[in-house]
Amino acid sequence: MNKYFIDQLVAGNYITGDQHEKIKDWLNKAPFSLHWELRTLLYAGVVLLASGIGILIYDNIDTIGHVTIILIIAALCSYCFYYCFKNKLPFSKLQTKHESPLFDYVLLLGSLLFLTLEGYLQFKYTLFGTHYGLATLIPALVFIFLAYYFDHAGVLSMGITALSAFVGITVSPGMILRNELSEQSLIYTGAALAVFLIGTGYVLKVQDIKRHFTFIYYNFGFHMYFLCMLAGIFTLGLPFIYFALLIVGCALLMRYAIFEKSFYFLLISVIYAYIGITWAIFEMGMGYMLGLYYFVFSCILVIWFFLNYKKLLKLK
Amino acid sequence: MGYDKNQIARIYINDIAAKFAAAKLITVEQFHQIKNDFKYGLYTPSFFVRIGIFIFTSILLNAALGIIGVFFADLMNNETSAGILLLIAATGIYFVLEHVITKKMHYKSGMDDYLLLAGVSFLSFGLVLIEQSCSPLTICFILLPVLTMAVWRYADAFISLLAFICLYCIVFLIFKDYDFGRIFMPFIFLTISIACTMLFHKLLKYDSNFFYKNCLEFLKVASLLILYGSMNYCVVREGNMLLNEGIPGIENMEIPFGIVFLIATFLIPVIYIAIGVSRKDRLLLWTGLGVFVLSVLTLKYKYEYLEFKYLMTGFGALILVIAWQAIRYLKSNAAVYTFAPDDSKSISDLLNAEALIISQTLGKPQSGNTDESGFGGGSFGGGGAGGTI
Repeated sequence: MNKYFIDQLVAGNYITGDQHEKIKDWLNKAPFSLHWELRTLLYAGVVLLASGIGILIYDNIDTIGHVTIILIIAALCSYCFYYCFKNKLPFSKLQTKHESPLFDYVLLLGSLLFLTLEGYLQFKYTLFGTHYGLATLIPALVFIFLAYYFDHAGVLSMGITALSAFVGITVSPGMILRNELSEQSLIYTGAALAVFLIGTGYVLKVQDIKRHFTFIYYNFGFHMYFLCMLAGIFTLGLPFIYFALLIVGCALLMRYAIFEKSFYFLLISVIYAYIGITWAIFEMGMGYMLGLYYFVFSCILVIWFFLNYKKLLKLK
Repeated sequence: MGYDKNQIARIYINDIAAKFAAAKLITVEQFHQIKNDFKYGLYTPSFFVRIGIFIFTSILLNAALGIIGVFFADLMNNETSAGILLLIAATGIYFVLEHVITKKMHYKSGMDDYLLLAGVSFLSFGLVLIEQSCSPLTICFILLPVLTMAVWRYADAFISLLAFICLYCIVFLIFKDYDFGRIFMPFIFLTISIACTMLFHKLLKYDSNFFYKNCLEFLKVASLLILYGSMNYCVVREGNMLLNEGIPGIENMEIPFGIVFLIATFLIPVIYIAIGVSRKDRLLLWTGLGVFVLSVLTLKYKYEYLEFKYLMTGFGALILVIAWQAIRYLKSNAAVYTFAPDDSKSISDLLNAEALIISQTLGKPQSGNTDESGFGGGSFGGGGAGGTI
C-alpha cells in the first residue's frame, strides 16, 4: 500500500533519491512486531489457568483433601508474590514500566489465586465467620496496596470492585430489615462511594501520586455517580435535587474531559446530561408531537456542540 | 465515489510521512514541508466523538421522520404505498448524505456513517415491501445490488460485510434445493471462500485501491472466517442436521468425512497462524488466533465427556508456556520478528506535539486538520475504558 504514496512524495521532490533507497530498505527489513499478539496470549493463558484451577479445586474437594488444596494454592500464590517482590522496581510516584513483560501477568495470576484462596478458606472454614464485609474488605485493601506498589491498573480495578462489594454488603443488612428504605439507602451509599472515588482520584492527581490511575477512579466513580443520580431521579422523591446534582457532575466531568483532552469522558458526560435534561423536559408535560420536535432540536444542538466544541471552548 | 479521493490520499501521505520521520528516515523539516503541502480539509473526529455523533444523528433522523410520518399515517396501512414512502425517505437521506460529504467534508464522522446505514436500510425495506414477496432468495437478490452500489460509492466496511454475507446466503439458498448441493455444501463454501480470500488479498496489494482498504481488510477476514466455518466440524454437523431435517436418526448420525472436518478444524488455525507469521500478515495471524478458540470449543462439542476445567487448565498452561518461550526467544533474536511494541503511533503523536510547538514558535500556519489525531492521543487515545492489561 505504501509504494503509491512514496512515489508521489518522490515525484514531488519531497524526499531525495538517497532517502528513497533507505526507505525501501527499511520497509523490507523492519522487524515484524509480535508484541500485542504475545501479550494477548499471556493474558488468555493467565485467565484460563487461574479459572481452570479454581474450578478443578472446587470439584475435587472430596478427593484431594482440604489441606493439600490450600497448600497448593498458597504455594502458587506466594511464589507469584515472591517473584513480584524480588523483581520489583523501586517505588515511584510516576508511572513505572517493568522491563519484563511477564511481571504484570505474574502479579495478576497471584492476585487471582489470592482471591481463590481466600474464598476457599471462607467457604470451608468460615474464616471470617459471618463478617462477610471483612471477607471482601481484605482483598480490596490487598489489591489496592499491590496496585500502587507494583503499578498495575488491572489489579487496581479489581481492588475498587472489591471495595464496592464491601460497601454494598455493609449496607445490605439494613436493606433486609427496613425494606421500604432499601433503594434509598443503596442509592445514597453508591453516591457516597462514587464521590469518595472521584475525590480520591482528584486528590492523588493533585498530589501527583500515580496520576495515570485517576482515569480508573474517575471511570468507576463517575459512572456510579451518574447511575445513582438517575436512579434517584426515577425512583425517589424530590427528583429535581438529583437532577441538579447530575448536571453538576456532568459539568465537572466535561471540564475534566476538556482539560485532559479525553473524548471518552466528553461523550459520557454529554450522554448522561442528555438523559437527565430529556427527563426534565418531559416532566414538564409534553405531548407526542412536541416531544418529537424536542428530539429534533436537542439532537441538532448536541451534534452542533460535538462539531464545534473546540471553537466554543476556545481550544487550540 | 462519494468522497474526495485526493483528500483521502493526503491522509495516507501524512501518515506515512509521520512514520518515516519517527524512524528518522526523513528530517523534521521535510516532514513539516509534506504536512504543509498535503493539508486536507476532511472532518474526521476521534472515535468517541464519532460514536456520539452517530447516536445523536440516529435519534435526530428518526424523530424528524416521525414528524413527517404523522402526515402520511394513512398511507402506512398499504404495503406498496408504505414501500414508496420508504423509497422517498431514502432519496431524501441520500441527498442529505451527499451534502454532508461534499459540502461539509465529513469523512467517517459518525454522521455519514449513520445516514448511509439508514439510507441503505430504507431503500432495501422499501423495495422488499413493494415487491411483496417474503421469499428469502428474492430479498437477498434485492439487497445484494443495493449494498454493492453503496459499497462502491461510499466504501463503508460494515455495509461491505453485509453485502458479502448476502452473497453467501444466495449461494446457500440456491444449492440447498439440490441433492449434490446438500452433500457438498461445505466444499462449495470452501471453494468460494478460498477464491474470495485470494481475490481480496490480491486487491489489497494494488495501491490504487487505497480508498477501499478498510472494506477489503474486513472482507478478507470475513472470507477467512467463512473458510474456517465451512470446514469446522461443529458447523458442518449442525448444518447437516438443519439441511436434512425430517430424516429419522439424523441427530445421532456421524457426518460423512467426519474425520476430515475434525482434522481441518485444528489444521486451519495452525495454517493461518503459520502463514500469518511467515508472511508477516497481521490480519491472518489474528484471525488464526481467534478461530483457534473456536476449535477448542469444537473439541468440547465433539467429545462431551471432556470438561471445561481440564480444557481451560491444559490450554491455559500450554498457551502460557508457548508465549513465554516465544518472548524469551525473541529477546535474543530480534532481527526478523521482535517483541518490542510497534510504537510508531506514539512517536507520531510526539512529533505532532513537537510540530505544534515548532509551528507556534516560528509563527507558521497550523498545518491542516491533523491536530485532531494528536488531540487526545495520550494513554487512552483509542483505548476506551481500557485497563492496560
